[in-house]
Amino acid sequence: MTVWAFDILALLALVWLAWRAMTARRIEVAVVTFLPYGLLMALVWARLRAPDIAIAEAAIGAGLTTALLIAAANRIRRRSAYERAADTAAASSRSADARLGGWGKQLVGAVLACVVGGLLAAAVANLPAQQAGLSPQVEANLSDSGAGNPVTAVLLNFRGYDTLLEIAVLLLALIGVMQLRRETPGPVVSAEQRHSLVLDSLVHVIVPLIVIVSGYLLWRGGDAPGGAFQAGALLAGAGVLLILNKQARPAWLSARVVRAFVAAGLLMFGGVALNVMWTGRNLLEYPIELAKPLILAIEAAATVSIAVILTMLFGGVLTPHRAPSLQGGAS
Amino acid sequence: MWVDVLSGLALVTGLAFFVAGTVGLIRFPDIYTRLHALTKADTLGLGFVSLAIALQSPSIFVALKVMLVWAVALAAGATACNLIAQYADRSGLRPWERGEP
Repeated sequence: MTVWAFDILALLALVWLAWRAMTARRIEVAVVTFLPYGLLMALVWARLRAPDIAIAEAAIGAGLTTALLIAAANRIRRRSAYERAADTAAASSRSADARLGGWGKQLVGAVLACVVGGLLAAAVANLPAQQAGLSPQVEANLSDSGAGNPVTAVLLNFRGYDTLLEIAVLLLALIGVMQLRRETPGPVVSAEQRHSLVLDSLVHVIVPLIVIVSGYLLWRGGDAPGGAFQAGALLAGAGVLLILNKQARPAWLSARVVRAFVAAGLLMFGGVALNVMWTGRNLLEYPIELAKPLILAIEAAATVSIAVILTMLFGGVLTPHRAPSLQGGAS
Repeated sequence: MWVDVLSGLALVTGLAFFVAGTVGLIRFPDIYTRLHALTKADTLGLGFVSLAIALQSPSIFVALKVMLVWAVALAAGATACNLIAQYADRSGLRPWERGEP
């Protein structure tokens, strides 16, 4: 009974927060509302007994996405005059559109939303009544997968193809963002933001801790909730903290090394996927006795790639930081 | 048995701090006093709730993990509060004084 009350409360709050985030007049309010929405979403996933997704949602949905949104909101606020002029031109053509559309456009939107919603509802209603889904098959073959955690077994073995493509998509997204960023350079961290000693000491304690927890999540992912995406997202949180603290990039982390990190996950995954074919197997068909070390190698490389890609989506590590060193000094 | 009583007491104490912090966040007049109220909920409230959970945990390691979560939240909360207060101060937000609305 009390648990039901909690679930209903959480769902109502979730819908309310989503509504507030979408309808907020000020962009800052919308962005800040998105943070508790992500946290509550993580809680709901945990209640649905999906701890893997809960961890990913907390790290990516609440943490990194909010950081990205804040950075985007900051960028929008300090646009150059040139971009404003371009925007005014776009807006005038848009208002011409609005004169044509207006209510009609909203009506079309509403009808389309109803159609899509109806189709989705029909699809859910027509699902076979079988409750278990594919989990009996996963359970039956778990011992051959090289992973004790059914989620990891599905992601890295049974449906490895999907995960391989997901990592490729992440890489493509970063390449796209880097192309756009070249046109609109500008620091994510505002120049007037001074170096904070308190943040500095937090970073010195928390970043090593994050690295340890990330390694733990990666290792535990084989047998318990966790894995490459969660570990990588957590590590990216450390990267965002370092950027926000204007930490100087260490000398060994050259642009070439960063690119190697970015590509490592896809190269490792793709390399393993192709190399098992030498022995007459199918793409991604790991030999059963080698499945565990292969999955661990793929996940380790993917963790590094995911962490660096997500960090770069936020701040762009490739551009050299004109940041004060640890010893201090003004930028 | 006494563990249940103790963790129940800790839970109620923690919730009291959360309620007080939330009321303060809504009722207090400016950002500095609101931060003051909020951080009390964050540190003491979460501390007592963590203690209650740690007392109920099946092993000492789980209990230590829960307390570690509290320690990390403590450090992050204090830092975030300091950053917000510093930013507000630098942006020229004057602290509220008695008699103002």
